[in-house]
Amino acid sequence: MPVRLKHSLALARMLMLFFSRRVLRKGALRAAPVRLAVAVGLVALLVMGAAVAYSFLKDVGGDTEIWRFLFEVSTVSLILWVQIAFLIVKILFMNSEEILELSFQLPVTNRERSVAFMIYEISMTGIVVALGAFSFSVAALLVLGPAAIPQLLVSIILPVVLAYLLLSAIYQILARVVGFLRLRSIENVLLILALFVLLVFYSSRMQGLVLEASQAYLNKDEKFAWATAVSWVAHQYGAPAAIGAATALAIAVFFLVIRLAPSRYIRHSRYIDVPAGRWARRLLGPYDWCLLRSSQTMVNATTTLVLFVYLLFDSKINPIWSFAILSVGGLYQFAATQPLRVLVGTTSSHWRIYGLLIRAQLILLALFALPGIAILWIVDAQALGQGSTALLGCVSGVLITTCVGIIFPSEKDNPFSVFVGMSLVGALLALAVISVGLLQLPPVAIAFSFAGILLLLVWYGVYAIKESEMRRRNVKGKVGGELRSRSHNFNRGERSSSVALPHVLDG
Amino acid sequence: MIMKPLEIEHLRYSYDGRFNVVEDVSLTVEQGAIVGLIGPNGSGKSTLIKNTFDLLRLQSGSIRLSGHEHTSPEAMKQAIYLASNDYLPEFLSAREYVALMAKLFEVNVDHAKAAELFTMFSMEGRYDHLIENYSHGMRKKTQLVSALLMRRPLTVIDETLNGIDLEALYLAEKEFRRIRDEGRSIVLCTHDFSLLERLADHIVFLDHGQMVFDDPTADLVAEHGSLATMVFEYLESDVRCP
Repeated sequence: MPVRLKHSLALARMLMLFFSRRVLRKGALRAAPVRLAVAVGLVALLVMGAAVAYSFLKDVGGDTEIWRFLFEVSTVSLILWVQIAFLIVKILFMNSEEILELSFQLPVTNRERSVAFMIYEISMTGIVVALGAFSFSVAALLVLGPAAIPQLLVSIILPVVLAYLLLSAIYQILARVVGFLRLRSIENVLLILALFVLLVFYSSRMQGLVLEASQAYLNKDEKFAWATAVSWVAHQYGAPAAIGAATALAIAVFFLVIRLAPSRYIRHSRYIDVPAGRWARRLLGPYDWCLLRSSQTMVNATTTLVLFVYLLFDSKINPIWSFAILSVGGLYQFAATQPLRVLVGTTSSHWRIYGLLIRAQLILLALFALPGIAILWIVDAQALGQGSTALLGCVSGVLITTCVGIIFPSEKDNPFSVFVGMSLVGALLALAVISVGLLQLPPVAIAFSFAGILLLLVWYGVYAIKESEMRRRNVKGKVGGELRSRSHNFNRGERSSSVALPHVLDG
Repeated sequence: MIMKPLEIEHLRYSYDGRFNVVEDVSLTVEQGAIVGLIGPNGSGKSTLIKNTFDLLRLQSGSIRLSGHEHTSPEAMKQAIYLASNDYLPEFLSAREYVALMAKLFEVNVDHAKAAELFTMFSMEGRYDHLIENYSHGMRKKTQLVSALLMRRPLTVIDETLNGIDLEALYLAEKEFRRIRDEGRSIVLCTHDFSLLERLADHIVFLDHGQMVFDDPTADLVAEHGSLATMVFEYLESDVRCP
């Protein structure tokens, strides 16, 4: 069935308006000066990153061999960035059923709807990757001048585009295989796990790829590595040939992805019917059930389990960090529990609402952490020592995602709010890390600073709940001085002039 | 050969893979006809409509809109769907919403006529306002106005009329008659039996996913006295409650 790109683009434009008129006008972003401040802050952060990169790289000068090595290492790490961004965006868009519903009355086919959403996924991944590559790219342009452009194309832009499109094609093929195997009910979990396995596989190969690149630089070899294939072709056959071939391949894969785009149907269940035993019914409340029964939690829980098992046998990172994935639920918890707050007769303090939101997530965390710690104690008791830091990290994750979910509620399941919220928090954390690095604070001071930031997040979360509730109840509204009335004469339409007849019976 | 606006053959649908909520339903909507689709909650009406617009993946049977397979872009142009909820893109103004619909349906829309319809439906001066600021009834009327402007061969109205006031209902009835006179068809899913008696040419009654009646309204009214009596008699009958 053909896809009308024009229709997909029209739908994508509608989603863009949703983004600009709703998401970018939420919470603190409602005020134009705040939006301006955020934009200025982000630009400042980027400029700062570029300046730091330039100060490190200016001494390299025009040494093409070193630059080639640097570009190849960038390509290898950017492919990882693409995979991480792709995975995050897929998780965010997985929970976007209600916003999909906005298009149900529009005459577009399911595949056109999918392509419109794909346009958004591409833009979001593009933003993440562009931010990751910005500092290095600007520094390269400043040092090498226009000569850096072909290098940027063959080492940054084209590999990123190809990696994204190939990932998309693999994703669509897997989705079709899952459909063919009649496993649609667990499609989301399977696809996220498949992406996760790919990510783990690539990250395990990354060190080898960087090592190969450095050996090639030291030995002045021309060694082929699949991750830097475009750059290799450029060195063998010239940049124009590599750019042409990679562009042609990208176009072909793009059309393949469009061709493979699946239909997006209504998801039948947002919640899984987790049976409630007597003790569970007594202990757990509606806020807890909202999180525990969410199908999104199912995806997070499965990913957590797989990551935990992987980290258990890979001693580099403490496996308890895997439970941080569970905090993703915090991004949706506030919006998902909104119906509970509008029930007549439910008046809770803002602190209590905040407490209920956090409690649900801590229960979920405990459900995984307790058996997880027990397993870790049996398998690797030494790792338990650093487990408390990881556990504190997971709790911090809960506080951060809950705050993002409150300030940027995922209204109508939209993934954009979460994306904006996470980007802002990411930028603020990056700024904090850079500041701590510059100030060279002792660990105790760093710990106190971090605790301070978390307390600030808790306070702002509660404040945002208060604001949201006040807006919902129109607390600031005032009684008007004028009576609302029709500003025009009654429109008679085609009714008869008989005033004696009620017009509804006067057909 | 004149294509039927809607042809459904042997449609079956199940949400859980065990119980069919629609069981072997076949239905044809003739050109220039208003068909009333009735049935208790959970009888399969909305599932049937969602299948028609490919919002649910077809599991069994076939659906054609004006001769086109229901998943095709051509089919999408043949029919307009007014959902039972008032879920519109509230970040758009009504003008922008209508323009978007017109673009997607590939029709030219007369915004002056649209504004006129807004006035007629007691929403004067609101055409350029954000839908966000509309009441529930106004959103429903916006849906109706967009359908009246697009004028597709088939208009499917899933309980949209339930939330609108009597004045708007009166005007809508008149417009629906006009649409029928132009040779276009309407499927009207509603619990308002008196409206159907006034308007519908044909009644399709579903219960537990099965077709109970598929007859001209006049015949059913002649046989049972009224549609309400027909439904209540059926609900209390041995056929339904063994």
